[in-house]
Amino acid sequence: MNQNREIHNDEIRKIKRALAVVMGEEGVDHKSVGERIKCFTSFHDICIEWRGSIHSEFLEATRFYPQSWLNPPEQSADFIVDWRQGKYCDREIWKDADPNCDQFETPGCLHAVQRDFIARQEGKKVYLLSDKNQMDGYHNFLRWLLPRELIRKGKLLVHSSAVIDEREQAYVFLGKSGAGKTSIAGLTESARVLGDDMNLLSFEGGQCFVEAAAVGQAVQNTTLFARKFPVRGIFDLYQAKEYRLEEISQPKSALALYAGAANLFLGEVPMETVQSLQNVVFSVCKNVVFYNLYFKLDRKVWDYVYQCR
Amino acid sequence: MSINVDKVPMMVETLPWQEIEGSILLLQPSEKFAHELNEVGAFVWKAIDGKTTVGQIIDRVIDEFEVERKEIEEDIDLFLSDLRDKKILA
Repeated sequence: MNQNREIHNDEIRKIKRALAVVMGEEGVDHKSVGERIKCFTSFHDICIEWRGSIHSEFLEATRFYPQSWLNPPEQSADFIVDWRQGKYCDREIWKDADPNCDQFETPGCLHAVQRDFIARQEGKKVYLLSDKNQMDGYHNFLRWLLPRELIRKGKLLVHSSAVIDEREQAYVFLGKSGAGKTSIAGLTESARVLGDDMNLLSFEGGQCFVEAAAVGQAVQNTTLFARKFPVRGIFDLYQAKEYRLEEISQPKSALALYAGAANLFLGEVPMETVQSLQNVVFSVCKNVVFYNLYFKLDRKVWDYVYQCR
Repeated sequence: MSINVDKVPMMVETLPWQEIEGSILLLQPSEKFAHELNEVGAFVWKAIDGKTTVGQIIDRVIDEFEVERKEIEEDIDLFLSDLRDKKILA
């Protein structure tokens, strides 16, 4: 942690310089970066206006997006992202960078740096520089930019997998890295997988819903796009030698949900954002039963999951 | 172990918290942690106002939960010490 912080502080000057270059403040000829574009994406109630060049990474990431996400009705954008790629990057920036996203503030600006992108946000306007040799820049950038906006809209981005049964009821799986979130989703026979890494929880009309997040992961299941499903149960996963399913208290449920909340940078967001987070967590925990699920990696695990039906 | 009953526990900063089923969930954004305080911990937490002494808090807990003084004094001292270790109390 301390080591990363030292690297981070040491790199700030380089990052700011790279961003200044990408923003055209140092006389860069933008014709050399490719065709200038202006297009929109709109999903999860957030509209982004993209400017800059067409990148293969963008085309790949949005390949499965439904047309309604790519040609949204006229609306004002929540964010305007000016995206440049690759050639301006100082390779030294990435070399020792923390694999996690790091964030820092300067007056009026929020900066982020991760291995495959750096960004600077000034209100709605965001400057993005990604590394064309590392193809997760788009996903990691959204994973940095959107969770705070999503929680303001009552949607909590959670590290999780989620599965839909034949009755269109959802089962959400939480757990530390390596706990088996992706594996358990892969062990289904009749059920369908929503997001296998990131999902959005929300609460409407007295009911908790989950939808696959087009944030921080490639979404390829087009049939389940932009659909919300009522949540039947939420499971905190622990691989073990014996099966055991135990209902957990609401306070413990809330702790599990806070632990699963992705990229909120809680120490650096306004108190209103923290309160929005508390409201969503409170509503979900009051209305959905959480379980600790101790399990082995075989299909029998679903007999235990379905006990909550 | 002797307890300084005249000490006034002070919060380092105002932290967001919420009550669920009698427990308090305390968010510590700077440390990216959430802590669960049980029923007695929640009662003590609510009593920490920058004016009330440890002795007064102990008296209130004894009145509320009808426990033995000796038994609860040590628990509260440990609880407050834990909050100080977590940089929640000064």
